[in-house]
Amino acid sequence: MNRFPFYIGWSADVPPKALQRARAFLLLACCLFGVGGAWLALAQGEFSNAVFEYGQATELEGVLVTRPAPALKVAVGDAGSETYQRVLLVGYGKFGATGILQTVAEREGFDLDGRRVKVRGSLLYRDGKALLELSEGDAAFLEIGQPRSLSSSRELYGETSLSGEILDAKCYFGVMKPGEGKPHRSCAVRCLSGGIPPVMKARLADGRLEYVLLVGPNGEQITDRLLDFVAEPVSLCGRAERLDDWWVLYVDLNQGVGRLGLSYPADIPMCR
Amino acid sequence: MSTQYTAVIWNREKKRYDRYLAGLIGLFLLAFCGLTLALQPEITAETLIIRATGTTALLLLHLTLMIGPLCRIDPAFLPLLYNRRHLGVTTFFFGLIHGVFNLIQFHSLGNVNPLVSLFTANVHYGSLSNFPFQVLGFGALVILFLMAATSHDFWLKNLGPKAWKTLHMFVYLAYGLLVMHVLLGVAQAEHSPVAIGFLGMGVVTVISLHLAAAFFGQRGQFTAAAGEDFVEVCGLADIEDKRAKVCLIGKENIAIFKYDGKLAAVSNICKHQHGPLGEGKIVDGCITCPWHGYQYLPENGCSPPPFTEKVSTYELKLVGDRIFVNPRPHPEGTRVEPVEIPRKHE
Repeated sequence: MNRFPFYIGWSADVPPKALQRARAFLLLACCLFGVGGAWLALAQGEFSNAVFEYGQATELEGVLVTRPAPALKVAVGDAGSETYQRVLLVGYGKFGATGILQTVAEREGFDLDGRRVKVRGSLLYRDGKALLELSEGDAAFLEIGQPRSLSSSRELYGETSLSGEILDAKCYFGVMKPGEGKPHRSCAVRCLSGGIPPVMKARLADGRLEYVLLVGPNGEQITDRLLDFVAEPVSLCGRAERLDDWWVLYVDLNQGVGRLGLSYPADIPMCR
Repeated sequence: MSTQYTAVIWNREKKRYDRYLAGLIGLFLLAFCGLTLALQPEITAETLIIRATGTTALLLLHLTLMIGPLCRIDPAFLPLLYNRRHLGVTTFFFGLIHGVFNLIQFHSLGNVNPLVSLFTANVHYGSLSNFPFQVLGFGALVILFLMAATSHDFWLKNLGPKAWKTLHMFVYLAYGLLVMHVLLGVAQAEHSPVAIGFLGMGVVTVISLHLAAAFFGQRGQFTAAAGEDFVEVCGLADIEDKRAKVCLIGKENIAIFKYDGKLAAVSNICKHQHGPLGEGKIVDGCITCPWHGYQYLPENGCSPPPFTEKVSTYELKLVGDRIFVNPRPHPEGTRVEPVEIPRKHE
């Protein structure tokens, strides 16, 4: 027999006893939501210290290079003993800088490669690597000077095989947290499709992480060949070279891209 | 109950329900966002919004799915069910914020339309570990949208209770899609088992409650095959005054009420949201549905004027103290004279 007071929501006369169980349930739900919220917050993976200076303009001067990826070579250190840092150039949103460089080159009537330029944009940086978003498009070019010859610090490493995750440089080095892994896969595909340089976050034999720019055997863009493999552990073979502060892998496309799956003891934990 | 459509027919209980709901959500957001910001100030606003709203929506959906079976197991939980539609619509809105921010964050400002990108950026539909999990979330959001959009009684009336109920049963598909959305998405990026543990607990709780409700909900229910004119159901003493005995005879779901020295039988299925009338009570001479308080006169199955809802009625007979019911329904709203209970049996 049902002896519990009958509850009618619209009735002005609600038996107090009818609300007791609901209140007990609510109390339990409060504990669950409060404790759950705190526990889930504590259990989150650590976020990187990457920075995207969104809305904050920085002017940089340097020599523009278009290969292996559009970048500004900026002198670092004292005069005479300076080294060069390559600040990768990217466009607004999920686009690379190539389209902007072409527009400026057509407007000016000459190739920009090797010229001294002054540009304005928003900086992104992480782990010693920097990018500049040319948020204003072709208007980001404030000054374009004469061609200037700058020697690059080059270190040939030779043929090698690297394992890691293919990322889009813009999200990983500043825009998104996390800018890697399965949840970010679709975004990385979109960014790489738009011309943002692909970078491999490679784990070296000694356990160190290194960021490697990925291009074809002759320095050409191979984004289309990599789209299917982003955000998962893969191996790539090719010729490695250090150009200023970036490692570059000239990927041997004949050997293809190897999916590592469970054999890669790294950062994608579940389901592998 | 209402004779005209109003956006929300507010009353004291609905306001109280929504206040508690807002407090619960506020508590979760305070704990999750507050601790995240305090301990990891490096997080971006977009990521925080996406995670907080997605988790809130999933938690609220669990609550929504738990309330139905809890009420079947124990009517004491009925106050939780009364304004459940606001809980459901709130769940959708949190899911919507989560979905829109994901679409902006991961698919906008690119070289294809964001909605096209959602389906084409990751095309590993044949792979489990690489499956485009965002598509699953989108599917669930579409279902939740349809449910939220049709949650008003206007749509219940115009779609008809059967179609409306069928549409709203898709919530279980949405729940399945969301569980897979989490398992194939963020769960593969997080090292901590806490989120997976919470989800596992939630799934086990929801399934267990539904199984328990299926068991307890049929406890005391009389079941018989169709075919006979009158079927013996129970004794007079088996029905509490102003309450009902539910019997399932063939496909007919019947509630036999005892009240004021009389017996009457109507369909057990409320015209509003298919609530179980047999778990209701006679209040002010009317059968009152336990879910939302819709009322019907026991002798003809009609809602009292000016309301227009009607349910089927059934013939009863009393032999000694044994109650018999004819499982052939009369058309909805047909008057059937209640059976008088002789004084010696009252």
